[in-house]
Amino acid sequence: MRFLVYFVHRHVDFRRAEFESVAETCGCSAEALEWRRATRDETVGERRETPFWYVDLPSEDVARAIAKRALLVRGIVEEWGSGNDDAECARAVERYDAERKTPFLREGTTFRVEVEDFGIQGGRNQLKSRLDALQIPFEGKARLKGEVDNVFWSAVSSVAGEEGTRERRVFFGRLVGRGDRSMIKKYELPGRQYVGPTSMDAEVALLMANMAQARPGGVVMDPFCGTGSMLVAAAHYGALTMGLDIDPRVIKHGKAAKMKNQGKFMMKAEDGSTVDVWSNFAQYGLPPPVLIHGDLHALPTRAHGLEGYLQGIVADPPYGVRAGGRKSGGRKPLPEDYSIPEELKEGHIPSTAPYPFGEMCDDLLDLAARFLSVGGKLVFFLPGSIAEAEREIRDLPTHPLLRLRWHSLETFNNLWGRRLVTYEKIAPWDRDVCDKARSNAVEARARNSEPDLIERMRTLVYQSRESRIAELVEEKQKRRGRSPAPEN
Amino acid sequence: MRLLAHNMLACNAKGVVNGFPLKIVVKETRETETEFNAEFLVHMLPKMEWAAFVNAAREIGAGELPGEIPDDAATNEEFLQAFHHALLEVHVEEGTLVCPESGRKFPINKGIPNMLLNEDEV
Repeated sequence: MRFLVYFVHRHVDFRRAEFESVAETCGCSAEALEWRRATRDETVGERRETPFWYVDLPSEDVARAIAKRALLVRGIVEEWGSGNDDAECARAVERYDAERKTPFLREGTTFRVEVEDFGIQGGRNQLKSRLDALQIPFEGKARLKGEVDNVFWSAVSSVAGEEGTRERRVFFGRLVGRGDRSMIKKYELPGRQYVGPTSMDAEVALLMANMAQARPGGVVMDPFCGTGSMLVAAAHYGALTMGLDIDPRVIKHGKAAKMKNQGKFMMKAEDGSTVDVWSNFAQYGLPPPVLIHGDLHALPTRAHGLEGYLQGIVADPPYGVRAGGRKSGGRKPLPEDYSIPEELKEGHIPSTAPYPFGEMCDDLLDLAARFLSVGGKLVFFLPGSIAEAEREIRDLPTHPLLRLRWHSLETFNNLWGRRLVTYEKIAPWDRDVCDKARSNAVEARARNSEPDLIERMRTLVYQSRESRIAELVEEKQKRRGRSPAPEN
Repeated sequence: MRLLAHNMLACNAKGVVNGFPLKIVVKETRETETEFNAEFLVHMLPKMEWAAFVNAAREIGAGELPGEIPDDAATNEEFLQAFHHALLEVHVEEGTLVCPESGRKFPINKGIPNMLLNEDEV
């Protein structure tokens, strides 16, 4: 059955990916989903893809379940008709299967027509003229507020066409499933007890949990869990969560609790109480996670029997475009027989070494290849740019036991951002296959003399910052009526 | 730290061949009620090192469990409840994990085991 999907106009590159991943959790094969644009794409700016798409789904129940969970779905509609203007849309609605229409128009039912436009304003005031044009024989009772039996959507899309024209598309249909974004508000960071500078914002964290298909009965792990922001999202969807982090300050010590001072400013609590990862789970009434202070690179787990343990892995790894990751080990190589003197062992703080990007990726893929159950998802962020998108996608990490399912770029500005990648485990763990994959990756990196993704991103981020600073300096001097200082 | 975590943790310090199961020295435990999910428990059962689990449950006072997983485990409500309680509801808040081979100690504070190895152990 064909449905019209109206997406929220945010995270454009994530919308169909999230929909497909959620469709899978709703028991529908996402491999078979065929998308067709319902309007042309917006040709201006970065947010250029249309939010209106047609897709075939097995049933209304599936459509409703997807709409309920996918954050980027505004609504899923059974289209009764569409056209380039009201009259064309009216003719299409007229032609639409009467058996699909009459039960929802019947006497004794209650209904409401909502206006959901894209690219134009004031559509609500035109509702009467639109409905007059459509001439739909409503026999039920219209109700503007409260619960109704049937909701209809009148949607008009207006996007920039060629040479300054606007292209209009008019839709009418019955709402099958409405999107729900209330949990973004519920979990937003400003209201959370314990956050840090790298806590993942609620919407993206929930998106990641949807890509990881977090659900009751499974374990979702974050090997760089920090303040636990992604685990909170996975726990919201019912997964049991597990977090690993190398930094005891973040995962264990937490920080001073804050309280409102005379109802106004947030001050440190006077009783010296602290907040930590546990506080966040308690705040939302979520089951507590499993927390381990440890290192992904030197995993503190038994060697056998844990294959297929995890349903999902989510990660926002510290790659080192701005700040680098750390792993266990000395800053310098230690002599083979060196050991810390017995009297200093108590209270010794283990030193850590830089964690190179390539090695971190290998470790993540290894973790997924071994610990995920077949069908489980590995979801993580990589740095990404707009100019080099094609090359970056071509060069995404590969593993014989993992298949790349989705990738989506979130842009921070007109140059760079981060790319969320989702891999699926496709075959049971095999030590030889994994060892070989890893040594191949290491060799390939050794052969490659070009700068890696992180180095390229660093250049992009800092060069563009420097050129931006130069621009600002120049602007400032212009405003002061002086010409820029001559270069030496 | 719950037994769910304990059952997967091991000491992987350099030179240690079999760092599993870690002995638990308990200083403080806490019990919380956790939602019962039979599907989850049945999924976890084959991944447990059962003897280590039964022993650890005894060490932390999380109850007595049968030495062998019963054949009807998936439908045995009484067994699953006992498994659920020991696996998910008893938290070791303060204590120490001890490597069975090397005696290396891993402290547990605020419910979080510190499994980080020193630079001479990796």
